Amino acid sequence: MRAALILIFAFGLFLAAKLFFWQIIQMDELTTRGQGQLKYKMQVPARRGDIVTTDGALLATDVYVYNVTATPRDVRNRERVVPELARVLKQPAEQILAKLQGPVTTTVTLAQGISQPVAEQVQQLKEYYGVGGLSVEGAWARRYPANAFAAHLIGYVNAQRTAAWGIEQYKDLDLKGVDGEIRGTTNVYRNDAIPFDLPTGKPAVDGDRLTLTIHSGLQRIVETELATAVRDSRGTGGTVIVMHVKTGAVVAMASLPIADLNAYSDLTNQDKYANPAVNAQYEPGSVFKVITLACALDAGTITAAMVYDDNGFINIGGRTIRNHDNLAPGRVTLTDVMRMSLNVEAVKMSVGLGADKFYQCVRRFGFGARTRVELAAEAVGNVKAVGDGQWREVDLGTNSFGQGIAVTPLQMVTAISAVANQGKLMRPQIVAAKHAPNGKTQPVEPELVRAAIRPETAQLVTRILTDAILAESTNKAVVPGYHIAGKTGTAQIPVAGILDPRWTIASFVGYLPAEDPQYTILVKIDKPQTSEWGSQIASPVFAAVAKQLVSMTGVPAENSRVMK
Amino acid sequence: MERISRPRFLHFDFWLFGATVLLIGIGILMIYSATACITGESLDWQSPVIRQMIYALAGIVGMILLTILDYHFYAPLRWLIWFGTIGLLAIVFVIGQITHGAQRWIDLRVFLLQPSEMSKLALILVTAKYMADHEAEMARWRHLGIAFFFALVPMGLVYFQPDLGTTIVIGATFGVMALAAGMRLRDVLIILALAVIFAWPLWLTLRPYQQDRILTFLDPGRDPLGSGYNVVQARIAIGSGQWWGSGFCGGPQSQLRFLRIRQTDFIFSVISEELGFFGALFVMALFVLIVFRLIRVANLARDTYGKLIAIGIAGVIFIQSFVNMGMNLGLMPVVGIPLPFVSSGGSSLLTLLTAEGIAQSILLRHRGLKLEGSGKRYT
Repeated sequence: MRAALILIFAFGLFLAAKLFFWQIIQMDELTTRGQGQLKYKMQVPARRGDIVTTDGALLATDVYVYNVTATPRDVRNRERVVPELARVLKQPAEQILAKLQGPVTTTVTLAQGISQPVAEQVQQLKEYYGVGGLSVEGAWARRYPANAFAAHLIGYVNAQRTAAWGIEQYKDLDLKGVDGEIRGTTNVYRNDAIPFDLPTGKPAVDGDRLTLTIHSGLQRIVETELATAVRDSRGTGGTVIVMHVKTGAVVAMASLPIADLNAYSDLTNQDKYANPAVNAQYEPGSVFKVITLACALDAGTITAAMVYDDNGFINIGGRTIRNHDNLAPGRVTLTDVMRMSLNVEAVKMSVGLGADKFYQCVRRFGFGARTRVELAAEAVGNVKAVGDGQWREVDLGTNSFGQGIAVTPLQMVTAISAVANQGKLMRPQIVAAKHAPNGKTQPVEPELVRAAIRPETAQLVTRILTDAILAESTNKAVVPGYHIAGKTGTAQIPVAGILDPRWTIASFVGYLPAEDPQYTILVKIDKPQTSEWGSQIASPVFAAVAKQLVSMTGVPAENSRVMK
Repeated sequence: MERISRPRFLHFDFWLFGATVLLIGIGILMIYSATACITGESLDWQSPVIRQMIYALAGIVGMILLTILDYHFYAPLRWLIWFGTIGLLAIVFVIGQITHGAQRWIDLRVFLLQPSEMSKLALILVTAKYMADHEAEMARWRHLGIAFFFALVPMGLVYFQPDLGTTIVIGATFGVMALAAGMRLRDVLIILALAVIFAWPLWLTLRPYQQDRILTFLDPGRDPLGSGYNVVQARIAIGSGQWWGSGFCGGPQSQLRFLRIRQTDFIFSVISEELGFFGALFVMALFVLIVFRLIRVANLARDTYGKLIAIGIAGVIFIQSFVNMGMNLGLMPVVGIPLPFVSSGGSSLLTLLTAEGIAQSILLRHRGLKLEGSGKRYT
């Protein structure tokens, strides 16, 4: 009996020792673990700001949608639940079943972005059958009501709320706001917060609404005209930009090819969201002669009254440069140089300036640097510099007529706008105003970057360009009642450093009215097949856009006596 | 029935009675904490707290009545008791209520009867009589075998309910009684060796969840959200209780329902969390006291029959409390055994109070009373 008593006592001590171990020795660790599982933290997602055009068209908005997720191991009663789910979610039952066959502990997504009525049906199903592993959660989702309209400008936000391209990416911080959160203590079912531990947290701060400088009517016109031109010329794509000269505001910007922003998950659309107007660079060709002309006039190495003798070729850096079609026109004025787009004379201008002055001037126009437009992933372009290892003497010659130099369409339209704007280079503007959720509006002011050339030079260039267009009988950049300053360009496309003669980029950059320039329009058509010439392919697009632009914005028609 | 004289009544063990009432009281408080505190529901006739109070009152009244009744009253009724128990256990298979995958209860409208709880006491009474009748022969395999047969039939029925815990408790209680009745230690070792040999085929008959529990006991981290869940949560509850506990109705583990089956099998974890190390230790001490007082009853018993009944009752309470607290502390697999007197449940509480009444009856008629008038006390 004594043995039994000792044995019982020993068993008791053993239990007590174990109790002491867990309750006293392991006290801190277990208490921490216990408190850890009582706490919950819930994200309160902020609503992302809308993006609207200057005239109020809605380009991007947030909608509250529902996602259905499941923890496969807790989804019971499948033979009844799955067919019902399939009916409500409009998915094949096999598909849902396949998702539920996966690894048991992970969470699978059964449906994303469903509407509230559907979500309510799923919730009813869940409650009716008591399906523990099924969860319906609300979340903000991005929607693009205008689909592919102005898509390159906007960019997109994916299901994980990550922004890509355009305004969405560049202004992500302003748009997304700050998520709020709720912290508290709850029971194991997460359905009963305990009252003596009030939830704490901070509310979500919604994102800012952005008004763009884009005018939806004009954007529509530009997109239509571009699409028509690309189709008619059987080109591969193209870009049209309309910039307000005095402010640098982009009022329309369109490129092709393009895709619906709501269809970003479609793999075939992957390469269509980068904006060719800012994310891609090209060799501008003869349009660049405007810059060369402006630089030479501004430096005083040439004068407007000079007459040149063009015999059709010039030697530079051991290479002979000729005019296109081997023209040798003889005695020409500056207007003739622009009208006939004489490469030889452009070379003479840049050589006359010298490499230092020429490249300084080119950079003053903003080439070789980002324009700091508020769009994601802007390309820099490529302007060679003396002594950078890339530059050869021949580049001074070819660069003068836009070869061997890479620019973005936005850089090009911004530089030409500087010529139109008394030589003042503006920062291209895409966001007109930012509206905080509290109603406060913060307008974006135009920003002068620098004076690229003197106003007198700018006026002189405008006059020469206007005269050249007037004198050029074949150019189709005609807007009745308005004088236009502009320049065509036909550039070949370098493929692995070699210019491929089969493919060209036809472009036209011009502004109007010449007397008091308001808008610059850049048209660029890639790889047209009906004609290679900018004057044939791009100029009509310029004219079509300009005609509708002046009527829409009420730009006063020309009084030609002012010019002479 | 012989009349109980006044001095004899003074032999009633108030230590045993007091410890029991204290445990029941702690149990009711903890059941309240584990149920009504959480839901905030009013205490009606359906609430486990009120039911436990009714069972406790009925049980204590019954216990006192049985104290008055001479325990020899049960001896001639042993066949009725044995077949009655078998019958009830068999009925469970036919009309039993299925809960958590086991068929253990008979619905009596006002009361869910769990015959397996009653079978423990029935077995003690029946085998005690057989062992007492064959006291000198318990070292012989034949009598040991016959005695074991009385235990084996109900054990088998309970095992297939399935209720592994109660099966083990009945088997172990039988072992304790057999040892007390003269079974040799050598034979115990032989049986244990045989048990190991037969353990493998037996393992194969275990339900997957039972195998799971035993495996989880061997390695609690095996499946933290599955069968190991409660073991881990119990451990957290115990650790969170610290020295003095988080107070009545104040334990987050219990109140926020992280701990499951908290008013029955895991009530010891609630005690540890809310009453702390000292509260839990106090409960342990009460069990040791109760078991010691019951062994004292066995020592004082006037005959072997009474001694073996007392030993059996002590054995049942000791084994159940040790296994239950052991599984709360991660020393034992989770086999679903209630903590005696404390866990919510009428069948268990009534059976145990009945048993204590019988034990008090044995004590009141202990052999010291044979020497009436000698003045010598055998206490």
